[in-house]
Amino acid sequence: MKNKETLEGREKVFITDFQDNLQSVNRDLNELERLSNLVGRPSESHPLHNSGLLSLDPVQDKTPLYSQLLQAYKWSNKLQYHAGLASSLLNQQSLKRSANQMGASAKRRPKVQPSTLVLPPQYVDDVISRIGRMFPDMTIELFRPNGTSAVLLVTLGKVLKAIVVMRSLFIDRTIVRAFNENLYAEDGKLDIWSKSNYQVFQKVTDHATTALLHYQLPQMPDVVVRSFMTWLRSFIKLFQTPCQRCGKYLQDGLPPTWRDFRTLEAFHDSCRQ
Amino acid sequence: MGVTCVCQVPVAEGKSVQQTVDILHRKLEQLGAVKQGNFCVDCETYHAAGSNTSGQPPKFLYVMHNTETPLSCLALFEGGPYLTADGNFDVLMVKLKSHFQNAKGHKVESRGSRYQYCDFLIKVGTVTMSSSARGISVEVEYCPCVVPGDCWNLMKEFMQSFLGPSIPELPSVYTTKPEGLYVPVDSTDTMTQYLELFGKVRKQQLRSERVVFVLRKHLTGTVAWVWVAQQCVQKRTEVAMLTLFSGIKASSRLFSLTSLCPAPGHAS
Ligand SMILES: [Zn+2]
Repeated sequence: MKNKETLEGREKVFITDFQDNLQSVNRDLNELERLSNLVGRPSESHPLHNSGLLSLDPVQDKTPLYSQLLQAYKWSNKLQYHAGLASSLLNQQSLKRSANQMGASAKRRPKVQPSTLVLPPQYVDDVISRIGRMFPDMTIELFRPNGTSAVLLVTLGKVLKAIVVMRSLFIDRTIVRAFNENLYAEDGKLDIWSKSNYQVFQKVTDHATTALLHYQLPQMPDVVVRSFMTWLRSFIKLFQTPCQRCGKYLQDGLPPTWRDFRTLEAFHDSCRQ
Repeated sequence: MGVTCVCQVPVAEGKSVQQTVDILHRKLEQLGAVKQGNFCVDCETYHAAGSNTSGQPPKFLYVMHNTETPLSCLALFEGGPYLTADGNFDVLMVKLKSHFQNAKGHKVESRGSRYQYCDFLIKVGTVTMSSSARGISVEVEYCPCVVPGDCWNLMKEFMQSFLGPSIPELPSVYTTKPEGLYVPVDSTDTMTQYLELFGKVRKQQLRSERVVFVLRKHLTGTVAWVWVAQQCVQKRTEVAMLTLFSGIKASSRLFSLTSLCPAPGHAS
């Protein structure tokens, strides 16, 4: 008898508990339904599409996903823009400087010659002789020792001689030597490789190479050659001009070997900054 | 060949020739110059035979060697043409004895160390005449430049850095030539400057010898005076010479007054 009573009592307790739980679930469901009605329809036109919904996350501080995403997006946008610019520039002047690349790709497909690299030699001759006539103290001789590419021998007063190796109308490299130094190798060919014996002209060669990289204008190669020659001509007073900063002729045994690209003023290498 | 300048450096006050040379070496090394062996420039003098008989002043021929160009030598006629010949030109000169006589005891040479600093070559030499040191020569070459007028200021600045403020003017070889401002490929300009320097040193010596001669003539018997004169000659300073000259004037008057010595003019 007693056993039966306790069993009934326990059943009752379980049922009330269960009803309470069910009611609370129901309540929560109702609440959720109410709240979900309050949330507006997400706009379809968000610029980041569905990832833009991350911005709705209220706990920004713990998961800054959205701001990071925005930054990454901006960055990749810019990258694409710059890559586009670079590719259009490179297409105009596709000088393949590394031999590796040339060997691999040249066999498989015929190389597309960019228009500015296939200027007729006659045109190059004309441009060079026009530039030569601009500077009376500078003589420019043009050779074509290796096929169509021109090599210029520039003699500046009695100061220096520069060898300028061209590719069409682009200057490929340059070497500056003293007026009294040999220009020809032992086999009688123009020596376009060995550097000057004098430290002054090794420095000038370095600076001339810097100048080649500075004066770049792929659309107008003749302007580049003219700018470079104007710059080179400022060395006519290499040994006569004191430094514009320290006022001395010599520093570490060298005269001012740097010429400003814009003003053409003379500075020692260490005085130019 | 670059632009060269050869100049005579005075012996420092109270120092010997060798001490002055050592000071120059030290200054160059402090500057960062690196010693690169030795050098020697020498000069033999010949006179043209028979020039004395015709009453004209004797004409000199100089034959010079330079260790910088060991295989050749340079023959210069005084104020006239020059030629660059093989190193053993001297042997030919012996054969030409009847035309050109070697002026014995006229051999001059400058010998010393060769330094390099950046694009500069510096040679500090002791000028030796009849086996005694008579002076110091300094040759500076700026190798990358061929126009003396262009780099002269630059060279002056460099020379001042180790020679001090007393710097020579642009060498006359460069200023007097009509085509002037361009260095020939051979070393003639350098050698001409050495020849000028040797001439200058020789003249200084001749002047001092004349002092001794004058003293001997005027002050016969006064051995002490001759000794004093020789001491001054050894020092080779111009000032000492001048003091000595005025001393002779005063003393010879004194001597003639006291009749210890015949008056000048009676001596011969
Ligand atoms: Zn400076």
